[in-house]
Amino acid sequence: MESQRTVLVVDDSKLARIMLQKAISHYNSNWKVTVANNGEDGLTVFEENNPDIVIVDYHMPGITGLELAGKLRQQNRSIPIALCTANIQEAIKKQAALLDVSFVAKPVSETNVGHFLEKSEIAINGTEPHE
Amino acid sequence: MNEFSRLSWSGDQVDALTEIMNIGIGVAAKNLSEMVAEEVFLSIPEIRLVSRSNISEELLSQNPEGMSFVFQDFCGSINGRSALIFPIKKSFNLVKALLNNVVADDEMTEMEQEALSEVGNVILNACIATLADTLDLHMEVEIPQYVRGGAVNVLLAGDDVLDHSRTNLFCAVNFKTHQSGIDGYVLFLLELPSVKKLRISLEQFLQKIM
Amino acid sequence: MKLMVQDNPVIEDNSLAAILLTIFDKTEIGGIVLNCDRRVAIWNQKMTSFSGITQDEAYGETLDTLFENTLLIRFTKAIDQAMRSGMSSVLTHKFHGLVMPLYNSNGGQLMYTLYVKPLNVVNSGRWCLIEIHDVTNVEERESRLRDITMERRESETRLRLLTDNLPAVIHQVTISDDGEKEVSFLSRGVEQLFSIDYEYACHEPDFLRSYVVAHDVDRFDEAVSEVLETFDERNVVVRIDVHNRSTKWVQAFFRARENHMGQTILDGLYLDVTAEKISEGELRRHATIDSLTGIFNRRHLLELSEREFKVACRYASPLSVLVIDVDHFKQVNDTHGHDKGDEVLTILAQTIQSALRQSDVFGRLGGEEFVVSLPHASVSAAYTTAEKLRKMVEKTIFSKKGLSVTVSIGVAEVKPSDKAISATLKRADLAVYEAKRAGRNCVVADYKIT
Repeated sequence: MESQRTVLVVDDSKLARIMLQKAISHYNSNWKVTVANNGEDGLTVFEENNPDIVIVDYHMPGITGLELAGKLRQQNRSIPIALCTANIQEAIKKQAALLDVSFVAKPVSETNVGHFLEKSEIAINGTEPHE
Repeated sequence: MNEFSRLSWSGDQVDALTEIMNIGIGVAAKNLSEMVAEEVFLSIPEIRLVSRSNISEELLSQNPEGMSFVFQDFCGSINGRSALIFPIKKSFNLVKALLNNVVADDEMTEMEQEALSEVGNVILNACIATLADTLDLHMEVEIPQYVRGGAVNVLLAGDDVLDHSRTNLFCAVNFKTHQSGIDGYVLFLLELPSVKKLRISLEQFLQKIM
Repeated sequence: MKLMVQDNPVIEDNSLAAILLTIFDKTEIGGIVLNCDRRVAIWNQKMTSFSGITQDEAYGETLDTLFENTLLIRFTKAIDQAMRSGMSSVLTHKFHGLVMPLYNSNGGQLMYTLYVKPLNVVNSGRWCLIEIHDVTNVEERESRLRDITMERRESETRLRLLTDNLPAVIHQVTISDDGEKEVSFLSRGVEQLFSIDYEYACHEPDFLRSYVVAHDVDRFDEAVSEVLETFDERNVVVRIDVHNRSTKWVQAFFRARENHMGQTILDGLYLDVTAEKISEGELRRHATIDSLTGIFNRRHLLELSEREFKVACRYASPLSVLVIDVDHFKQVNDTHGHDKGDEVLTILAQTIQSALRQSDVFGRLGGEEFVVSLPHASVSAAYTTAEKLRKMVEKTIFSKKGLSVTVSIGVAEVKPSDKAISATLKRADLAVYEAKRAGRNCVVADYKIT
């Protein structure tokens, strides 16, 4: 049986959330998606729901996606996190690398989201015994 | 938001437009940061419906000493003008950052026109392309025009005679760098008929994905 | 009608399209049209000239193939954007160097601005137009202009450095046909010379005239108008009032000419000659004053005395002269030294001077001889004066050691037969001789009136 995973999506844009949801469903229709529309709420939802994978938008009101990723990292060292943004600049890349955070470029597509999710699964499964 | 609801825009549509502009300008910022080898900081896009005279006032108050701008007009599914604006004293900083101190200072003033035209071209194309691609709009975009120290009228006029009561869709994003002192903004202007067409396109797009 | 483009039949009818195609083929701008597969559909003559690739070779190929993958990424991206999204792009060589390897007619690298534009072709989607504008000449011109501007700037800086440090003021005023005056050059020395603000002076072409004292303004105006009329050089020395605090003397050199635009250029060089004027004054004083005693020297004494003589003759008023000779002067010098001798003469001169009237002319004839010309004095009056002087000198202490000095004085009145004062002085001289013979320290008058 396929494992059901939960993906947390944090983005202040409804459109972005919808697009990501669609892409995630396309990758695996069984997976659940929880959402938050800013960094603070994202933290709360994360603690409540314990997702397996996290995708955060960079540019949000309040704390940025990177800051949020930093806090999440403090709580969970190995969970796959991706920064979802069109604005992938060198400085941000470096900071993300330090936090072991990947990128999903905007505009999102089923391809690039799928790519990240696949990578994430491999990373997660790698810590579980083979079936 | 109220102004938009007057034109029967839904919350989703406004959100969608904001996100699309965000993406477009994000790509533009990425391109710019590569060109100047520095991080470019963006503000959150401000999308409003305002009259031309209001835009005029705001631009003048933000650029009291005058501004330089590069604009690209587009037409097709929607008609409008995109522009890259700098306070006139800051335009030099961008040129300098672009040329990475390879060129002598006095040569730089000559190159200002070409440098800003090209940068403007890259940035504005990124924005417009994202909009066009996402919403499947058919447009043709003209080559950039550079005006140094131009009057606000020139920026806002477009092909039409300046009508101060006319309302426009006005989208502005500020971008700046810390080290090289670049500070400018991207501006999009759409006339009301095109605003309507844009809404329709957004609706079609949302229908598709929902 | 068959339209041939570079000997290839392209269109076989006389439609507008055929004509436009010809125009496009012959234009000075390099033109490429790519179809929706990114293959060359049109390649004009200028492109052949820029790239060395003929139309035949180009048709149907992609740019990548033609240029063997040397194309700039931004360029291929721009083509994509044009085709896909209808974006126009501009690329300048200054930014990118070579977008495509192209050459100008001299074989050198082409400097160009490149435009990529979308073309909406009916029923065929988007094609793409690429325009190449040769800006080599513009570049060269700009570069030359830049050099010229640099040179001019350097030259101007050098000129400024030179003129700012000159003690003279260099001033140039340009006068247009309508009489409008403009200061075209002014050196900074103006601030010191005129105590005037430089910026202010730059806007007041006539500032110098406004400083000239009323008395000299006419002369100044005359010099300037003459220069402007004749284009000769003139100079004029005038006094200027420096903020009513002091007066300076300024020598102004003027010159005028016409420039190639028909304007008159008036050049002025102003020198502060106040110091010179003062020394002149002093020189004049030196020319009249005996440097040792401070009284009139021989020349001036005789000059003035001659003047008095003439006046006396004209008005038939009496005039007498005294010739005063120091007794045993040589002895004084030998015994007490020449410095003492000088001191004696000086004290003597002061003593005598103090006893004389304003109108009396007193000077040193030479050595130890002095002369006093007494206008309005007859011989007897002059005798009285002489006696007074003799007593004074006798009483005067010339040194702490109690050195006493006396004088022998000869008196003579101007006679009708005297042609000049020299004649009178001669007689007074003879009288001195008599006084010496009489034992010195006395006065002898020449009473002979013939």
